[in-house]
Amino acid sequence: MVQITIQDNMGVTKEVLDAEDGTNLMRFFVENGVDGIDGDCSGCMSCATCLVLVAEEHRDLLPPASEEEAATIAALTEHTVAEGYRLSCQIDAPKGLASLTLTVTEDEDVF
Amino acid sequence: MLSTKDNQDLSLIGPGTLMGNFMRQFWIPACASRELEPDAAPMRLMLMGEKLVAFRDSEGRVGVLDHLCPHRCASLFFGRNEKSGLRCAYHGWKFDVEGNCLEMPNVPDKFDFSPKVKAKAYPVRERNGLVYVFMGDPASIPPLPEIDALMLPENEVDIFLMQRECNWLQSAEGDIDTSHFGFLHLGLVDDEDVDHDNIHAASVLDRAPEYFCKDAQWGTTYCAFRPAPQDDMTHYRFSHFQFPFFTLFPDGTFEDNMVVTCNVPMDDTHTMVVVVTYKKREEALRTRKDGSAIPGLEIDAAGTGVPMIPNDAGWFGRFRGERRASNDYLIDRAAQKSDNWSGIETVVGQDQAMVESMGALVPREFEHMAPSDIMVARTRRRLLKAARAYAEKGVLPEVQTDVALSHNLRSGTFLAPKNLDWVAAYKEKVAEMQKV
Repeated sequence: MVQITIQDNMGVTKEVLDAEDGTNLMRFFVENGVDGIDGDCSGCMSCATCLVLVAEEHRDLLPPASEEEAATIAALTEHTVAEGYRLSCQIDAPKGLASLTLTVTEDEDVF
Repeated sequence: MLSTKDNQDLSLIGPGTLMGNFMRQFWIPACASRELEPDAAPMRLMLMGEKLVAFRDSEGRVGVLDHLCPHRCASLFFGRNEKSGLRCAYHGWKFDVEGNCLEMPNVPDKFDFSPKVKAKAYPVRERNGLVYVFMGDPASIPPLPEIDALMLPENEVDIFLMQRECNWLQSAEGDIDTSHFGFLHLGLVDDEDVDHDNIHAASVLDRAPEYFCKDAQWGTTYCAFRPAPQDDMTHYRFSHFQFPFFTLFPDGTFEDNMVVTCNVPMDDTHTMVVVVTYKKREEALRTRKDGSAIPGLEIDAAGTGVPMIPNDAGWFGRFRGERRASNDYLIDRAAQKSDNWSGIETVVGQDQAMVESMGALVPREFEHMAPSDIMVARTRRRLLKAARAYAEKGVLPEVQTDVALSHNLRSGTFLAPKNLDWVAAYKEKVAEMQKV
């Protein structure tokens, strides 16, 4: 079980959720109605609507991003893997990890 | 992907549902004025999962009542529409358009309690050929929507109604799914078939444009953009979604493309599409450069000539196309091999086949959306948030009361200088249009 803390971009905790080991994070967040995680492409790495910023202390505890994941983030967002951004569809809750802190930014883009 | 709960919250519209409660706070185009004649038979009207009857009284006023008589629940569909009211066939109780019980002829005068009985009636307004019904909170009735196409006099528009045997949301999503245009409708039209100077040829010349999309005060807005043949210009194709179920499709030239589709839920699995189009609008691509019609596209969005099954009096008896699921929309496989991409005739029939074929309710958990679906995805989120804001805080989108936000909301195609950003390009185009 991994305890996941979701923060907004001011660092304020929005939600704390417990994910079973091995659970795909994007699917888990969508099922739990986490605002800002949409997963439009269902995990095909073609939309970047499940973008999260991983807390610095947890970055090295996750499996590294593939080249494709890094390229998707670079192409569709203003961020990079180097800054700690990941697609949550590419992360399964790692066995043995006690806690994970993620920042999710809601897109409020008005015409 | 959507969770099952989000999908249900978005799709289901019966009384008491999240989306049903939200949608009921807006005026709903329920039928065309021409469907109701004074003192004619009452019409069964399935609306938002509720069984209603609509009638026009001797004075021309329209009433929309629950079809159950408040006496012993016989259907008022069988009633007599005469002398300024609808009289139940069972015991003769008579109701006016506001549901007031005018007469109770089976009860002795001294026991008459007609002032205490009211048929369930919804507020009704009529404007420019459409009958609107308000099914929400009677203490806060908003103004009628003021989308440009709905403000035009009846003789300047075509009003086309068509029933779709599917949920309202997939119907609405069809209009904002822009990238299907170059495939479903124009898939076998080649570069050399079209006049490259025609502004609408872009749908054929570049079938994979990029998109911008934003939330807007009225709902959501997107554009497809491509480099224009003119060096310093960008080709834009704009379209909008307006709460709660209006779409402004982009099939035309920006300046005169006054159009709207109202995706009105009849129940969870039937939708009445009410399309209002300015008669003098210039349509987008319908012919090749040699003047010949593009196969399958002879009939436009105004619906003129779409073959229909005659209406009957059933709950789902209004405005059914002849091309339907039970006959596979009369798909012509030979035409599909030669010159009509889908093998199905008409834009209306092609769209109908695609949205109905998803099933009456789409299992959106199975989808894999592409970047070209950004407008569909954003619109769902906008709708969900708005409906939840109403449920949790009683807050409705501004456009519900500030109906002027829809003025000059236009969809369609135009060119703009390359150095402008897309929002600026749109705003400049609207400003330029207002000067004319």
